Amino acid sequence: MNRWPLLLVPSALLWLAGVLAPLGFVLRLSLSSSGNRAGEGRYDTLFYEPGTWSFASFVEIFTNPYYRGLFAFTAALAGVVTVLTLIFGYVLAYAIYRAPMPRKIVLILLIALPKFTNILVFVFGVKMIFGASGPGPVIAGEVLMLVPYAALTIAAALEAVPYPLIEAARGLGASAAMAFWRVTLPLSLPGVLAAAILTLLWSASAFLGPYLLGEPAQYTVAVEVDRQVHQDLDWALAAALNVVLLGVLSVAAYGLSVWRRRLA
Amino acid sequence: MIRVAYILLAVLLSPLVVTIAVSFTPSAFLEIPKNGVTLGWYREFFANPIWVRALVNSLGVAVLTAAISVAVAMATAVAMTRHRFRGQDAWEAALLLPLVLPAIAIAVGMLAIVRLTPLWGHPLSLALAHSVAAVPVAYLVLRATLSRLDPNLEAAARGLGAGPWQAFGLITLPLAMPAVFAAALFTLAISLNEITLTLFLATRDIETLPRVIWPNLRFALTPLVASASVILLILTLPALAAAGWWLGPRRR
Repeated sequence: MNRWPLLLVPSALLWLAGVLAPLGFVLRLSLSSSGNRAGEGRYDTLFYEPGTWSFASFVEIFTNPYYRGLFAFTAALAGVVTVLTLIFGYVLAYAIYRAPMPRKIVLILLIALPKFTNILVFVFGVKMIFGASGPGPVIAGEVLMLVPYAALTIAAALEAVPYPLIEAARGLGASAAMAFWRVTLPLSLPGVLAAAILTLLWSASAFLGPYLLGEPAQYTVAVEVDRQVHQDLDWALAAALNVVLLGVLSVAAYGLSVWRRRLA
Repeated sequence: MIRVAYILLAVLLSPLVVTIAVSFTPSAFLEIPKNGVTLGWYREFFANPIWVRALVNSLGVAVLTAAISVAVAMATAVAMTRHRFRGQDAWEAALLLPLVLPAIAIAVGMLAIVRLTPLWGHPLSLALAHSVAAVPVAYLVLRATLSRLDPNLEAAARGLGAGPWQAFGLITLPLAMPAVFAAALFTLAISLNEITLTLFLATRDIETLPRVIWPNLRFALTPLVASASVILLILTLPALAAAGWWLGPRRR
């Protein structure tokens, strides 16, 4: 009679095939030898040596200054984008928080609108406004792509802050800035950190923005992965880049989430 | 601060506004229309078999994705809201993992695996890959609604002799129908807008709209790309309406 666990089977299968297997395969691939890359443009060859074990890709990543520079640039870009996104996201979230009811929903929908449109529509518009390519368009594009998530995450945390608390601080003589600094901001900090984790993860693995809006100098680790898969045809190296990226991101996300839990 | 927020909102929406404006330009270049508007670029879109086929492929994959991910998410949400079991929180966290995982990492793994299977070059591979990304969202929507439904209604149906399927079909599903509808529209939008997995898995036989826009965006920007982008935008608008409904009447 107890057959309800069967309900979990479809999602478990999809998860095993669509999350665990690809990640496992990437890990295994990163420890393979690079295959015969002579078959460029052909789609019936494998671009790695199945069954081999090799650390060559990791050695390449950790010794070649090109890859060190690539990771440093990706981290710097993610840092700048995350800080800007959190500031702008907070301002928008505060507007949602203070808006009366019908306007609140309109505001949320307008902020979410870009996320319901194709990223390519968005990139097209960013090119028109901020310039075809270069560091400016890359940062603008990344920030605008991530601001809706940050704004809505922070707004959810702000909604839990009772407004009378802020009024009380004002009534006790705090200036508006003081009340914000001492009451509103600390109470919404867990939301800000949640948004920081998401923004950092997404901006550090950014692929489309830097690729479509950047010049080669603005390419990130993820762009290099795509280049290795589709042009240089070194899948072992592409997988190793992914493994290093995932490792760094997991540590960063874990650190931030520990900090967040300590606040809550 | 509020005034700054409205300026930011305007900046946030400006790329969309510009794209829509450019798609109506009578000029052959990327310009905001100055003297009058034209539907010429849309006519060109629908006259070109490459674009039309890509549109049809995109819609097909999106419908398949919505069907798969809503069904899978519904089964999971029913199990998660009606039963408690050990490790449930960890299970749920794992289920939601694709929301934060870098798409590029999944994409490389999927490409390497799918190329070894007969799914390579089949639209189903795209739909399944999109479902991996869409199931967590559909699950969150369905779980929120199912956990608010009164479990006594289903229990009463069972007490009156309905089997588990009958109780689900006659009681739970009709009550959760709006959420099913919203989840379907969200997953349609996710599929239509997904790029990274699509770029890695789609072959020449399954060109979808984002994949045809992609090279144009890098090398040959014309107003046709703007109109193609607007067509994608129109296709995902119902999902936005669903989001409005979702935030609207019931939730306070």
